[in-house]
Parts: sequence; C-alpha cells; structure tokens
Amino acid sequence: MQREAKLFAQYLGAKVDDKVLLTKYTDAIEIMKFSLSKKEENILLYLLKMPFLLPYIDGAWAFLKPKNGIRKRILVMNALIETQPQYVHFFLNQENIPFPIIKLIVRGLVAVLKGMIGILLMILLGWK
Amino acid sequence: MEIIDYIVVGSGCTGAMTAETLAESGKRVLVLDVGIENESPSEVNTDFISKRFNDKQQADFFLGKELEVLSETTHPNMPQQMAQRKFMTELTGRLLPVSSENFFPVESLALGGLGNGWGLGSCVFSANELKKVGVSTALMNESYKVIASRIGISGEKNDDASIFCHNNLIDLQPSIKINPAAASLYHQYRKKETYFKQNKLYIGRPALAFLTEIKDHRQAYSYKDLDFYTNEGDSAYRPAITIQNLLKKAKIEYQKGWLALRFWEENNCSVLECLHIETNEKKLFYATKLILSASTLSTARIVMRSFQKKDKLPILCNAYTYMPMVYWPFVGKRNIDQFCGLVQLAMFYDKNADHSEVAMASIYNYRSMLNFRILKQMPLNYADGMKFLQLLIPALFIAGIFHPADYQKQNFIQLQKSNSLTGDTLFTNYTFEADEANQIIETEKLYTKAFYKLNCLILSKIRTNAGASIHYSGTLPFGENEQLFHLSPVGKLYGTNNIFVADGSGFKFLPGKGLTLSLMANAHLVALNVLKNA
Repeated sequence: MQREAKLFAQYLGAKVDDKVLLTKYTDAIEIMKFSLSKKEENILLYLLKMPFLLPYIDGAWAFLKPKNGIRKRILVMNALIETQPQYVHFFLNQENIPFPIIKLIVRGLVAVLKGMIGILLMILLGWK
Repeated sequence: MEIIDYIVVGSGCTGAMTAETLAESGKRVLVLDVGIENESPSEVNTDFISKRFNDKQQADFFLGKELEVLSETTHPNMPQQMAQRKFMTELTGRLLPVSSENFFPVESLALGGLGNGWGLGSCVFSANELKKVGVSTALMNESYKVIASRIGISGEKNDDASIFCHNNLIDLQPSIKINPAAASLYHQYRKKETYFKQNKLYIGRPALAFLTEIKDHRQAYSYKDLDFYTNEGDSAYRPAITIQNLLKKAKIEYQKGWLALRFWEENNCSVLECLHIETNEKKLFYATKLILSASTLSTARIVMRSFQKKDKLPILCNAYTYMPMVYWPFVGKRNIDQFCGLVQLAMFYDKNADHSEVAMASIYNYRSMLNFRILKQMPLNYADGMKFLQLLIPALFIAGIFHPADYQKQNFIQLQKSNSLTGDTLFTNYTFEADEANQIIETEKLYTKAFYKLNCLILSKIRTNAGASIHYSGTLPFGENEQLFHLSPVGKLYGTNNIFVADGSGFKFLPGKGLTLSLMANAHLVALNVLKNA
C-alpha cells in the first residue's frame, strides 16, 4: 500500500517522502474500501514496476473506463493532495498566468495525446 | 388527554413560517419533528483562501472525517453533498423509504429540513404563475412582504432580473458584492442586451435570503467563501433560526424524535399518531387544529395512510439541467480575491413573454467545492487534468436551469405495504412526455447559445435524474370543489374539519424558478386561515 501511495503521489506531483500524505492515503483506502478486481491488481503491480506508464494508462482509462478501481484510488490521492496546504499552489493561482489560453490548449492536447497512446499501449499489453 | 391549540408537523421553511404566524396569536403551538441536528457544526474563523493555505487539518473539513465526500454511496441526486450537510438527509432511507426506477427525491428529517441546504434564491411568482399554481395573487403578494421582512432578503432593486425575482414587492437589503468574473460576464450581457431581449432572455442579480446588513441578532455576510460549509453569523436564512428564536421567546413548544404517521378526527379534535424514532414507541397527540408542513412527499404519506382510499396521487417536479462552462476571459486569472460562493447572476427565459412560463438559470462561480469533483468528470489523465483545471477554475461557472413543470398523467406516487419501520414504501414514477422533453431540449439549446454569446464555452449539459431539483408539489392539488385528496385554496384538507396543509402539496404548477419563498408565503397564508377558523 505504501508503494502504491508513493506511486500515485509521485504521479500527481507530490513529494514521495511526505509521510503524512502517505499515511492519510493508506488510512483513506481502508475507510473507503475501494477494492480492486484481480485484473486491476495485476495492472497495478505492473505499474509499480513501470511507473512511467501511468499517465498514459490513466489517460486511456479516462476515455474508456473512467470508473476503474485504480482511477478511484488516484482520485483519493488527488483529493488528499488538494487538501494539504503545501500543495495548494497546484490548484489555486496566486498570480495571473501569462498566455493562459495557449497553455490551456497545449495542456489539453498533451493530455488527449497521452490518452491515445495509452489506448494503444493497453491494446498491445492486452489490458483492454 | 391534553389538547394543544395548534400542532405543526415539520420544522422546515414552511413549518417554521407556519409556527411563527400561529405563535403571534398567543395560543399554544407545538412543533413536532424528527429534528435531526448537526452534532458538530463547523466553526471557522478564517476564510477559504487562508484555510487552504494554512490549515493542516483541512482534509477533515473539506472531505469529512470519514471521507464522506469521496464516498460512492451518496444519494444519486446529492452527489455534491458536503460533510457538514450530511445530517440533512440522515435516516431518510430508513424512515422515508422510496422505490423507483426513475425518480429519486431528496428528503430531510432534520431540524430545519431541506432549508438547511437551500441555495437562498428568492423569487416571487408572477400573477400568471400564481394563477396556474392555484393561489390568490393579491394574498400572496401581501404574504411575500411579510416573509421578506422576517427572513431578510438582499438583491438589486432595478435590473433586468428584478421583475422576475422580486417585482419590487418586497423590501431588499443591498445586493451581495459581485465576484470579478461574474461582473465581467454581466458586462458582456449589457453590451449584447438587444440580442438577449429579442430572445426573451434577461440577466440580473438574484434576490437571496442572505443578509448584507445586520438584522436582529444576525450578522451581515463577510465574504469568506465558505458558504457551503458554515453559516457564520447566521447571515444566510435557515428555518432553524426561526424555530430557535421562537423557542427562546417561549412562543412555541418543540418535541423532536417524532415521525408523524397518520391522523384522524374525533369529537371535534384532531388526533395525530406518531412514532418515536429511537424507542419505536407510538404516541397520540391531540390538537384543536393540525397543520401538516412535513414537505410534499412526507405529507402525502401521512394523508394516504390516514384516508386509505386512493392508491395514486399526482406529483410535480421541476426538471433540472446543469451546465459547467468556461468564461474565456478569466482563464488563468489569479484566484485569491475576496469571493462569494452563492449565486452570482440569474438568467430568465420568458418563453411566452407574459411571465407565465419562465425557466430560470442560476449562475454560480465554482471554487470552494474543490477541484477534484470536477476532475473526476473530465476525460483526461489526472496529472494533466489537475494542471488543466488550475487554469480553468477562475473561469469556471455552473449554470443550473429549472424547467417549469405541469401535470403529466403518467407521473404519480403510491404508498405500498412493505417491511419498513412505517410499514410502507413510497412507490414513484416520473417521466417526461415528448412535448415536455422537447421543450426542455429547446430551452437548453437557447441557454447554450446565450452563454456562447457571453463568451462562455459549455463543457457539458447534464440533465439530472428526476427529483434532483428538490422541488416537489401537486400531490394534493388546490381546488374549489370539495374532493378527497385536494386542498381548499387556503390549505384546508377536504374531508376533514380541522386539518390543514401548509407545504407545497397544493401547488398545481411549478414555475421554473426558486420555489422556497413562495412556499413560505403560502405557509403564512395557510396559518392566517387557521387562525381565522379558530
């Protein structure tokens, strides 16, 4: 569970040695009882070994299976990060951001591209 | 056998107003209620931004100590419920069971009822709307004034929305300060006013049951943007404020823990059978007059159990669509200004140009509900989605549209025997006929175009499950002829001598607007009629 917490924390840009956050995550998963299917467990084990695949696979799930068990768990980590003061700048702008529309379009396109690559990866890995 | 002058069932917006009007007579008034209370109300001395930047325990506050906000077992029509408002719907699954495939009502057994979560939008109904509802325009217009003076309403006196919101019938405190993005959106409307008026669309500041100036012991709003979590200084009106004030002044009595089951009349006296929710003890309460204001569906349950003669009652419910949208000019703006989470603007579509069939959109800025709620609905990977949303949040608006509702013969409620604690379950059916469904689609299209004109991009159109508007009425329609399961125009239940209904059960039409102010105004009228009949 700790490894899983670190994986998701790193993926979302938080510190992997943030013990408070990691403990909150493991407690939360126990409270929420978000269980994983056998297939999801296997995929998670694979992602723990190859963490660089997570943005692509997550992007593919966002299109194909948004209620996937692993995505639910990542959302829990996201909500916990959002409610930690040290990460608030990930969520609220303290200053106006220059060229916001261009950045928005670029970020949107990058995310969509990752999703498409993710779909291809899932087909190749037989996870679809 | 103790006979009380007036028993009021329920402590929500209509129960509180009924109790207050009856209490003014000096007679004995007892409010019976299940009365679940918020055991640990949040006390916050800070604002949203300070809390987010400094409070290490904020997860408990925003997500709930049991992470209730992340739970997947929430009510289908309350997906955004705050942990602080969880008490509002507690025990309803056990005590007010509902069975349906297409209608998911939200009900409350709390002290103050659904009024605890009221969005505070306060609209008077027009003469044409009141005629369709089945109540007297002259009396309601007088009653609106009384209610406004009791609860305190703020708003704009003279803009394009004022005729739909308050029609200058009520005294207003100054409107809340508008958020920068909403001010900019309103400015766009002003520039393109001709287009909007040609399409019978009007935008302005909404009237809200919210104080911007001190009133009695209640404080003016302090712009802390924690409006969905706390009610600092009681600046937002909640019916529990009225109940507690009346209790403090010893004007009413209040007994909680009692679920009203059924009534009958004997020897010119009303008898109410109640069930205690903790002990399961049944007790009879006796009153000279009984006033049911338990909410449309709860009152229907009580009446159906009492009469046992008819198996189906009609039902009305506003269809509700919400649209998240991005207002381009505010993408990437700084997001730490003073802010208010309440409705910023209201847009009205006056289809027939005579105020008979209006569909209202309440326009909110999105911020204090936190980003993860939006993130989970986006078709993007979470890491990039977070960055995307950071740019989007300052520009994000949510528009919630209420569509008017008329009777449709296929929509009904029915009490069926079951193994529940009360021995029955409310079976409901609610679907839309082709005409009504088409009208909803047309209205959505019109609003989409209008928001596009204002430089907004609609992200999605979400037509909620029936019941999501939390506006229900029409189960015991007002009528001039004495018929069972109908009410006289002043709220007396036909077939009884001393039983009145003061909630929305009688409304024969639901305008596509905020309903609560009109419910309270009607409750005051019913209470006046009770006193007249005393």
